[in-house]
Amino acid sequence: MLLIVGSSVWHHQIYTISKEDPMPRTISQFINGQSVTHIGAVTSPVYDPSTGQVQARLEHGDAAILAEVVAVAKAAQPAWAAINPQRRARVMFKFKALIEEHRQELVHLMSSEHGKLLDDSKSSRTSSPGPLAPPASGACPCR
Amino acid sequence: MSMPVIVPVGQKTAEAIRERLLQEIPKLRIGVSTDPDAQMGPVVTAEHKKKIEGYIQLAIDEGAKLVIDGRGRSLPGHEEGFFLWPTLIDYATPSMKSYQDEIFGPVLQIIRAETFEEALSYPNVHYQGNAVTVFTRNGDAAQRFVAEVTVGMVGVNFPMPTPVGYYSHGGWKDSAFGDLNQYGEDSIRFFTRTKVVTQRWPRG
Repeated sequence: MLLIVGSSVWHHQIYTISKEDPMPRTISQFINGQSVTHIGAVTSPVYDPSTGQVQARLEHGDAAILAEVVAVAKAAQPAWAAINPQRRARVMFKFKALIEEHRQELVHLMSSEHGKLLDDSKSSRTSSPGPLAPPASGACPCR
Repeated sequence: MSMPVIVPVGQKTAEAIRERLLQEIPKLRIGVSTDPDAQMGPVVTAEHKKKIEGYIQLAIDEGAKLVIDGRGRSLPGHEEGFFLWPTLIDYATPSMKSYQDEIFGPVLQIIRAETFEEALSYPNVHYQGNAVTVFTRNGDAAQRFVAEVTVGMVGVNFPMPTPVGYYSHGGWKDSAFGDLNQYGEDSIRFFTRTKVVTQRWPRG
């Protein structure tokens, strides 16, 4: 199948999950705190570019999954908004701390899927933390 | 590395930079992503490797000169990996497909310019505008470049002008997606719905 997205052309080997297939690792949707595999979902291969082998299959979402995710997020939002900003910030900083704690694992995953060198993956992890990472002084850059 | 291009101003600079590149590029070590001595890993898929090789051929067909060819080699022990070695192309021009499109691969093109204005016009006429850097010892040229270039992330004597996370990250023109860039204050705005309250509390 050929998907044409903007000016870029992506070649996807389309693969459908069935119960019988011996499968490599499946990267599925993470919804409401858990991984959810949808039988029959379209997947595309995730290569290890260093070896050329398929190391996993990435499960695609669809309109129904998107609707489910949005519904879950909408249901969670009022309670989240009612928590005071300091406590919400603690959750976000906990997320940041977890990323740092699992840095090695994340860097290896990123390099194994993308092919970039470990050092390059390390710098993507530290240069792109969005509003989560405070500068070295510890002051939060968020206003 | 989405589309690396060097635009030397004047033939003297062009020749000097080409000489240095001819010395340095063959020294680059290509290896698997876990190789601590490697300076570049593989590209992401076999299809993408073919696409990059296609752009190299296209540049040659359109009249550019192939100086170093990174195609047709494989890494011992990893023959199935998607490896490409660095390619250097000289005498590319802004009208070539290899300049118009983002190659996303280890292909460095030299597009020669005679004047500052000509060099500045190349990124400015391009429909995209993610990142660009000016290398100079001339402060006036640097200031003019920063002010006049229509690109979202600009470096001055700094090769990879992608700022750290608490600044915005993103380009101009077709290199921008949506109304806001990524990271920094824009990321806060993305998740914020503003409310304006106008009020008075008169006494008595």
